[in-house]
Amino acid sequence: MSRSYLDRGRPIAALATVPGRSALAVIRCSGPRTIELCAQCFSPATALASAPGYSMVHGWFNDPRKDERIDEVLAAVFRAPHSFTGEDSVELYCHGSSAVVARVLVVLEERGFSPALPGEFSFRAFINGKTDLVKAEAVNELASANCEAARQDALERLSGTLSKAYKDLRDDLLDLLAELEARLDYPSDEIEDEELEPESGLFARLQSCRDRVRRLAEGYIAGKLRQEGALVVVAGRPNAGKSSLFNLVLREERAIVSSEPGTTRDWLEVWVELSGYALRLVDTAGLRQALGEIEAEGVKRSLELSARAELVLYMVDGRKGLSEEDLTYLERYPEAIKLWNKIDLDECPEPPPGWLGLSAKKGAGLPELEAAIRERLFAIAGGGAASQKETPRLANARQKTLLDQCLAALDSAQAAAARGLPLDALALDIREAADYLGQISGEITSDEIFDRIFGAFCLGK
Amino acid sequence: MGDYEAIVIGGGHAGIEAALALARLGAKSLLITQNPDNIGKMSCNPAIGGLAKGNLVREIDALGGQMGILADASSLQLRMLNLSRGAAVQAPRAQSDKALYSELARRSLEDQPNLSILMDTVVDIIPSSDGRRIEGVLTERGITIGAKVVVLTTGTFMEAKLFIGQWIGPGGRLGEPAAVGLGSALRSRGFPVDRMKTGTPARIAASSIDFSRLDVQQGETKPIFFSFLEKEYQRPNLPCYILWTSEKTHEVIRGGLDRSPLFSGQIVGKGPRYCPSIEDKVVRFPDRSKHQAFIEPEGQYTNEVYLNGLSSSLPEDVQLAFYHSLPGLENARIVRPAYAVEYDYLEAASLYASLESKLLSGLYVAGQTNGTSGYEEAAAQGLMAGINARRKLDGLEPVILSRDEAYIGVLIDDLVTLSPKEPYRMFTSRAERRLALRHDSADLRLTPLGISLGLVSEERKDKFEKRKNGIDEIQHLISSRRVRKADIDTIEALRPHLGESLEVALRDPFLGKVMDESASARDFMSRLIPEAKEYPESSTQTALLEARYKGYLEKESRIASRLDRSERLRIPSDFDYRAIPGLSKEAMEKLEAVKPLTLGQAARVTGVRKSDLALLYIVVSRGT
Ligand SMILES: Cc1cc2nc3c(=O)[nH]c(=O)nc-3n(C[C@H](O)[C@H](O)[C@H](O)COP(=O)(O)OP(=O)(O)OC[C@H]3O[C@@H](n4cnc5c(N)ncnc54)[C@H](O)[C@@H]3O)c2cc1C
Ligand SMILES: Nc1nc2c(ncn2[C@@H]2O[C@H](COP(=O)(O)OP(=O)(O)OP(=O)(O)O)[C@@H](O)[C@H]2O)c(=O)[nH]1
Ligand SMILES: [Mg+2]
Repeated sequence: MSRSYLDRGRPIAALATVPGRSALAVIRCSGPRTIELCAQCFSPATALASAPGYSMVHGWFNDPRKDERIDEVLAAVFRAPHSFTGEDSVELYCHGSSAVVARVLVVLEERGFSPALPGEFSFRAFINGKTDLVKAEAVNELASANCEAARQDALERLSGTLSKAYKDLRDDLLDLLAELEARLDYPSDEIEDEELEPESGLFARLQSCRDRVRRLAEGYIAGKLRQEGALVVVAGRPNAGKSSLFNLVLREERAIVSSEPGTTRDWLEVWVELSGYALRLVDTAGLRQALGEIEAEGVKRSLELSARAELVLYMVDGRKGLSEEDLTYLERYPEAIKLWNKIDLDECPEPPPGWLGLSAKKGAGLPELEAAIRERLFAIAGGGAASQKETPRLANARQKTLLDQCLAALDSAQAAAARGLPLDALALDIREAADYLGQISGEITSDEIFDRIFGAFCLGK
Repeated sequence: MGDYEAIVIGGGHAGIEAALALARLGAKSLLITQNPDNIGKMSCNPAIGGLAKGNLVREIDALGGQMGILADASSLQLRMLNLSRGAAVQAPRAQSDKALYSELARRSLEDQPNLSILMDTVVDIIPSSDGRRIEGVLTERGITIGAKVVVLTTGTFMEAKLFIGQWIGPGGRLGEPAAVGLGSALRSRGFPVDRMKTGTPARIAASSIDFSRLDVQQGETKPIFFSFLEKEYQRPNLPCYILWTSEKTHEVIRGGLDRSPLFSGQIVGKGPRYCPSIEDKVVRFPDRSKHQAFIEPEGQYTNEVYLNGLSSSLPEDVQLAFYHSLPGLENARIVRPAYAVEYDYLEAASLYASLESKLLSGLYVAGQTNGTSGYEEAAAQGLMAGINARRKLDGLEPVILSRDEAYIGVLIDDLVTLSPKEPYRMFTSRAERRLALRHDSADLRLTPLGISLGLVSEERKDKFEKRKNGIDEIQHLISSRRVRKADIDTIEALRPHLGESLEVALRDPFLGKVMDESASARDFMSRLIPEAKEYPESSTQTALLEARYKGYLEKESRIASRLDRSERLRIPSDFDYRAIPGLSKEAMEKLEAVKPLTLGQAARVTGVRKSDLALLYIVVSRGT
């Protein structure tokens, strides 16, 4: 039976923490009669039923039909409109076994709760005016943050700094537009000059808006990197020691290492955290004129991955020195961190300038490598907290697309202003820019908002 | 008294267009108005057109209405406004000879077959026994006249009161009685009636003004037309004058505020924000040391002049004192004092976009009665109400102009969705497709519709086809031409475009400047294409503007069409808003009242929040 988001007459419930074994699990319930229905399976029932908002009640979660205790829980009570969704809500903190969680959910369903649809809590929050789209998206981003940096960013967005940045920008654009419209709606000889700001002032305001949009759009790379993790690819010729490095960083024998060139065929990917940054470290097949079909496919994938990577670690076997293939590759990826491997062996010469000496086997040079990676990511991620203070980072592709469109419209407005196009044309560009910002926050409703945004949420948020 | 197919109540600017449209489309029609001598009177400023309003006049004309012809034939001065700010926001404005305008308006009604005029005041409307349809009207003299459709255009007259300082008198315009009875009758029949107010400045004896001390504002000598018939009348070109108030003026005004009916609370109706009285301006902008005002002629054969920008409802002694503080007006004599009028209007949310009442089938409402202000706004509604009332008689679907087709479409959509609570006036910024709604393209947009409706005369049809062909031919000439060496010698600004198609080169704003500085569009064009001399100025101008704005027109249409899908999303007319769980109470009530036809319209209803709209969107688009 399919249920619609609109069916808001019913209470909903879902697991809000990650499924699987954990110390605690949180089940979130929201909607009409939520507190009363939860109290029916809670003892002491009246304690829950009469609990004020923002309070915690300790007790037992029961199956009222079988008169059976299921788990000892804490219930956090929220009363409308002071809750995430704006409705009456209860959060149940139970023990994190899947058996307990499953039972609790079944009992709740018997009481009349429907399993929440993806994003339904956020949807209700949006509809009840508790959140704008940017904040709703931040909830999702917060929940899927893979590292501390991403968590901090998402938290900041949730607290409304990004929403506010969008809103301030849009307000400024609308103010600017109002100034232009005043010129357009009153004949030049009838509007009193004192009322008007000189056009040079307007253009300066336009410029400032444009710069702010650009800074926000630029923050995306950083935000996305922090949210989704930086793709770091280890590349090099066969037998250079790529898989050895991969294992070294992981501190685990994950990749197969052998003296046979062409060992790695399919690429391997793992998440690692390095000084607050999440990395998706990828070990790839060695680059060479492949011997067989499988290896050829592996090489092709290595190249594709290098192209998408935020950072490439390029490794050579120091004993063998630089080959034609190495030089061709490095020409394409001049930004790569260059690693001179196997320095533990005597026959390995000193690394040439610009190369980092390393022993993937023994671990020498690893701290230097980590420092180099950190430095590089720091640069990509926008110079860290200090310089980014005023500009919150976004990590959402939808917002980025709209920001880019907004920026294009403002560029066009600036060009129009510079070329002396009449104000009616200029006003159109600014209107368009403001429009895009309105779509970001959901101020302007367009089709994609419901189809794309809420569908992407995971359950329980 | 015999019966008619159609009755129009009120011979103002709305009534004129409604009556003419009905009669021209073959309905046996009667215009009932309080006094035929006052048909087409300009209650306030002696001018027609201006920004956005000029576009309305040209649209009325393109559809076969009367206002453009009347304005051309009675002008005292013509100007094209906003030349420096872009073609989309330019518009013609005429100073008009009020007496002549009114005389010509009356004559056009008298000459119209199928149309009778009756001097009387309507005091009630007569619904059918089941209360659903209109059947006729009842007049002050107790006469009942039957009709299947009635257009109500009472302007500022329903239960109207005039205010000058502490003096209050009944009246719709100074010297003319109010239409008493109808407003109360409509109220008691359950129509949503409320009060609005507006004001007008004094008329001063020109012979008492020292014009030598004022700045002169001359009209243009280039021909400017409202009507696409482009008839040349031998009209005078009279100047206007500019003057400024001073601190002294403001002091006098402040001193009289305690006797102003506005500030003492005697006027309850809401006035227009964008056309404030001088005392409003002085109070709202205390830091401003001066305000601009204009002196405009009321007519060719009268000594009276109009003080534009100085409308007021202050007592006459205060008025006189502040006029005397103005340069050149030290000895000014008032002929007619400034005054305010408060009147009954009908909430426009009770109308369909056809301007037919939702409460009573066959009753149409147009003009100031719907909460607008301005002659042009009134005439535009009158025309559409007339057209749609006529179609109702034939059981045809109403004609509803869209927002991207005409300012008239924007106006009516705004009225029935926003249901203004203060006088509504047209602005270019109200239109999303402003670049497409240029005044010079009104005929291209609307005359084909006028022809198919049967409102357009043979003469107009011929003229239109010639002009349209001319535009097409010039556009063809432009698009098939490349910029040559020789062109650069004639027009230096073309240099960067050597070898490019002329059509593309014309988008360069530097060329736009050259065009604007040329004596005429034809002059500019024929420097490049000698054949262009053959075509009339107006065709050349339109063709050039289309070329100049092409890129931006495309952009505008892109923006509009992006919003279009949800904009056009239709809401069934029997849609039950109570069936949407969680719709805010305010939104539900507003939407129930307005019954928007599309999601776009719903979005413009005040009080509907974005989250309400989101819900509505989902329900309507998914049909759940
Ligand atoms: C004092 C004043 C100040 C104004 N100030 C401004 C301004 O600042 N800016 C602006 O844009 N516009 C202003 N106007 C408004 C402008 O005059 C109107 O917008 C325009 O005239 C409206 O046209 P209409 O056809 O709706 O009504 P009107 O021109 O008012 O015509 C209504 C006609 O209907 C007749 N009538 C009314 N009721 C009945 C009835 N029951 N039976 C028979 N006949 C009836 C009247 O006699 C009158 O002839 C002002 C008007 C007045 C009176
Ligand atoms: N002495 C020494 N041997 C190393 C070092 N790094 C790797 N090796 C050896 O080099 C051989 C190849 O190592 P791998 O890590 O499998 O190399 P690879 O680059 O992944 O090779 P392919 O997967 O075949 O492309 C193995 O025998 C490793 O033990 C190092 O730093 N010092
Ligand atoms: Mg390997």
